[in-house]
Amino acid sequence: MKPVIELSDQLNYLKRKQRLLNRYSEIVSHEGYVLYEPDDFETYERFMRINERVEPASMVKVTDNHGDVLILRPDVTTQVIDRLIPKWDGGEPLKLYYDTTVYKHTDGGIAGNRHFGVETIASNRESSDDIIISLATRLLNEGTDDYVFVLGNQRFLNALFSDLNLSQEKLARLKEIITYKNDYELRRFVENESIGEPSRSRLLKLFELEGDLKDVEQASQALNLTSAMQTALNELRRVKDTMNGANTIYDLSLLSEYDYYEGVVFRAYGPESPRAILKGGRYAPLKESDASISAIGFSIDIETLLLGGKSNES
Amino acid sequence: MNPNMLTIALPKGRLGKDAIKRLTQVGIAKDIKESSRKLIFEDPKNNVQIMFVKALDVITYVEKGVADIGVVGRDNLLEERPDVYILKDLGFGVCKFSVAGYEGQSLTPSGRPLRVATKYPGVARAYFAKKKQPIETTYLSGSVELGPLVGISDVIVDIVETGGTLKANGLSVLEDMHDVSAKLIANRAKYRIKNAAIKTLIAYLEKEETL
Repeated sequence: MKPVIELSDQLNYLKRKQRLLNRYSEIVSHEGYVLYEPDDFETYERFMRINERVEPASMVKVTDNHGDVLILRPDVTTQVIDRLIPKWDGGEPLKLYYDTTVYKHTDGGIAGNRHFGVETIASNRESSDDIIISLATRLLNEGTDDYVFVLGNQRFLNALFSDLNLSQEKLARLKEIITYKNDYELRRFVENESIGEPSRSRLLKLFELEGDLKDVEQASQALNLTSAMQTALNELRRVKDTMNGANTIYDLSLLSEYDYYEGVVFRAYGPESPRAILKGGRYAPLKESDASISAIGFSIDIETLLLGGKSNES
Repeated sequence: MNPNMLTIALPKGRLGKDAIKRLTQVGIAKDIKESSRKLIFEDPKNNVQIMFVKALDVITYVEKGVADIGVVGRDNLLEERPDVYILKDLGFGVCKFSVAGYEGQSLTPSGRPLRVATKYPGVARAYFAKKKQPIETTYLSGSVELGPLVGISDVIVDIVETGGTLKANGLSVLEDMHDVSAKLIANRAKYRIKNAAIKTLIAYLEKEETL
């Protein structure tokens, strides 16, 4: 009987994947990034303390010989925040890359996805957003001809949230609504919580703050933005010049399930892929760490990226 | 399937009929018959293709990116919690998620969990967990009203439109849980890739709503 997937096709796919990963390693090593090998397991409780909104059911749990619940790593950035940043001496920027598998439960069972990513830890945003985003688009261009890059700024949303004085539970609900772009529930939330102006208008118009940067700036003009919100927009303006013609959408409601982000956040999507091929952003260390430290990074979902691919690839 | 067209997954049945009605009102999918055995229809004029699938499968097709957008009841979204965008309330398929049982039935039995028969165990668990009420769920795929009648549950959790079936079986609504209606959902990646087509469709639907 003929196999569903021919061995030759499988080998070609593996070769293609290896070529891409080798090229990625070559590029980032040349830029001074050092290979980081993350631990396979995380403590469930510790991970949940850092990432309160991550769906617990999505994590692959195991127990160790003491009965403690561990999870197979669902991301790498949490380990960088938890284990590397506290050890960093504040000197030269710490530049790391990884090529590893992250795990989660899906309807079809446990899914392991190969992720290639970079992380830069530095003092006071020394490592600028544009350098990392430029590296992200450079790596994407090695693997695909066709993608949409989406840019947002968590700083804008954080400023919006801080004006609302919501309880932790209600804030979590609001974040969930925004993550789903659920306009109907957002309107209900604003009504039920009796949110007053100007926060009311900002929330009700939030999903309209999307498009090219001019559209976003125009739509935000009537919203009486605070200086923190303006700063967030200015950061996006600065990044715009580095996009080098990439098809870019700006979206101020872009919100990650990970709460550690605090600045520019970004995603990339390809026409053949059902989910993001790249995710990243600027993140803060843990609350108890030095507030002057800031880090930025991204990861590319290699298998998702390879669903598309370069048209001129052999 | 034509990847250049906007692909819409619609549920078979009443929700699908209402969805087709809304789409035809804005000039889309005018020649489509939901009752046909055909599963995929093309509307080349509007660059749209429509696939008819089971209600729960709408979520799967949209989440996996086979369909760009879809129409689905909030009941299924609450149960499945898929990783999609929920872009618009469509205003039809309106009903409620309710707890139902015999009149006067306690929802806090002493010394044991409340026994709940339902097609939506996830929704039931989340609702009663918030109320700190332990429950024991029995999954039934249909005729959930039988649960209390045959004694396998104290109450049921189900969607209720008129309450006619409950009444016919001697049951009544004990507590309303959530509002339910049809929602337009989108795959997160396709929302970005086919943003203009999706936004145009939403604008058509909203324009029609204001007429």
